[in-house]
Amino acid sequence: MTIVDVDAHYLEDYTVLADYLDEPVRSRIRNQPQGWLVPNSTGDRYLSGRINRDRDVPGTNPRRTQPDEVPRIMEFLGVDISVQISNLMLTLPNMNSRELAVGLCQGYAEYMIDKVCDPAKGVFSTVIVPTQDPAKAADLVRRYGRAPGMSSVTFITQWAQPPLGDIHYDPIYEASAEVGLPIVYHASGAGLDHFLIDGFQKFIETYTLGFLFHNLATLVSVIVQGLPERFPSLRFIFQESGIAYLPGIMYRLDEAYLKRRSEAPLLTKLPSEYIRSFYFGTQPLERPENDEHLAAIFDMVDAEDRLVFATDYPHFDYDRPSAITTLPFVSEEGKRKILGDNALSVYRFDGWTPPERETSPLVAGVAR
Amino acid sequence: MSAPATRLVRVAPTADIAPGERRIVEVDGRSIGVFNLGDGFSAIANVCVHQGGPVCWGRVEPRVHAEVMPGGEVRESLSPAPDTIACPWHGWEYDVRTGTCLANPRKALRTFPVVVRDGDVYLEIAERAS
Repeated sequence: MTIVDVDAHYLEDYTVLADYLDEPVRSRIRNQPQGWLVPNSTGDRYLSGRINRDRDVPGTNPRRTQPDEVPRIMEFLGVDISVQISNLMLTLPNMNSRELAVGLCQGYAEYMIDKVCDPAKGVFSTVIVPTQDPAKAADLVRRYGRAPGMSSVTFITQWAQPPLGDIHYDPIYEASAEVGLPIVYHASGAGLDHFLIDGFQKFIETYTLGFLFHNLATLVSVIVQGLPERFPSLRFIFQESGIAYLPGIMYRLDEAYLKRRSEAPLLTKLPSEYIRSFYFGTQPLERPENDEHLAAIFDMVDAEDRLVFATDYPHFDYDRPSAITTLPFVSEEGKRKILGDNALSVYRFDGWTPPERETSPLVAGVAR
Repeated sequence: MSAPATRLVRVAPTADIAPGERRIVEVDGRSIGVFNLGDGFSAIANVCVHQGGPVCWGRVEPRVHAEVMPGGEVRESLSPAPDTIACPWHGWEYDVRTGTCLANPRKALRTFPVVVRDGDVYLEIAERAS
């Protein structure tokens, strides 16, 4: 069995990314304090140190990833392929500066290709697109999207305006279709403490709602604006919100579409049918006490063919492969597809060949 | 039916586990945390029921309580002594004495009896059926 982690985070040093850029953006990025460069939000994800990664992988720095640490982290997680996604850029859409957003994405792509990606060892990354400047984002997709190690094109969905199904972003979708990479929509913690409704008191509130809201907004926009019809070769993967929200939006949007089809004339089938053609990262997978409830959701979203396993390591809510291996209602074949085969068919993992062993040894260790 | 057979497994001299400290030991291939809580010892399995994390490496801290005061103010307080352990992987909290999961009392860590005898701390372990 091949285990693919479609979402793990690389904790990069942005001053190193700047080395790949031309002046004056190079100095503007390198010399900025991080808090000014990409505004983050308050709220300690790690509960003031209660949750910590210090003991996970001995000899690594849990606050700043080094390229050679990635295979050891993958071994700790029990995964064969890992898509490393920038940690810093998870707040990208909060930036007003187009030139700095484009510069960071360019520096990130260059750095990952130069230092981190190692297809033979299963280490891959993704082209992150600065939604602030669709034309330049499309240039980045064309320039780096064919590089070995680049598995996909990633939008950070938090606060992207207009919503991501809009024709405003067509240059990015055109370029992605051209290089043959799937589209990842990655919800993130950016600005969660400044949720649409101000005044939530605790991170648990904005965390629970924020990821979900931005995935819902993206799903609705992508479907109603007819993106799958306008770019039929593109495949779409939504990450970071679990899966329990999907039946709700599927059937609510179907209901609205049946009444207001004239507002979405590009569609050729029910919204829920589009959703069942999309892929969804599993993390953080919900575990209702009654397994039958989760089994029903799996059935509604065609889970065995559409879910792609993700850890989100090292974030506080990361999942291990045991989140899937312990599901009593999923067949062995279904687990194999969710843990790896679905991702192998939708992402581009050129340069990777399966090892000869049958199962990932660490997965056996944590399967309980 | 007779009580299942048990044996005592020596953990450490009592003086080696000071109040507030812990010792994590391997017994029959299982990792078990033994905690000196000041007023006694407790022992819990070092395997979080969530995703198998090393819960016994986690912080032992007082529990956060809250009550609604007359007038509606919500007043939070901490229990007087550390009584709660949180798994370092994802933060699941347990009563360090009973192993009960605070957020869902239907889930619990396995616990083991601790015996203090003649200056040593022992775990009482059930003999495995052969």
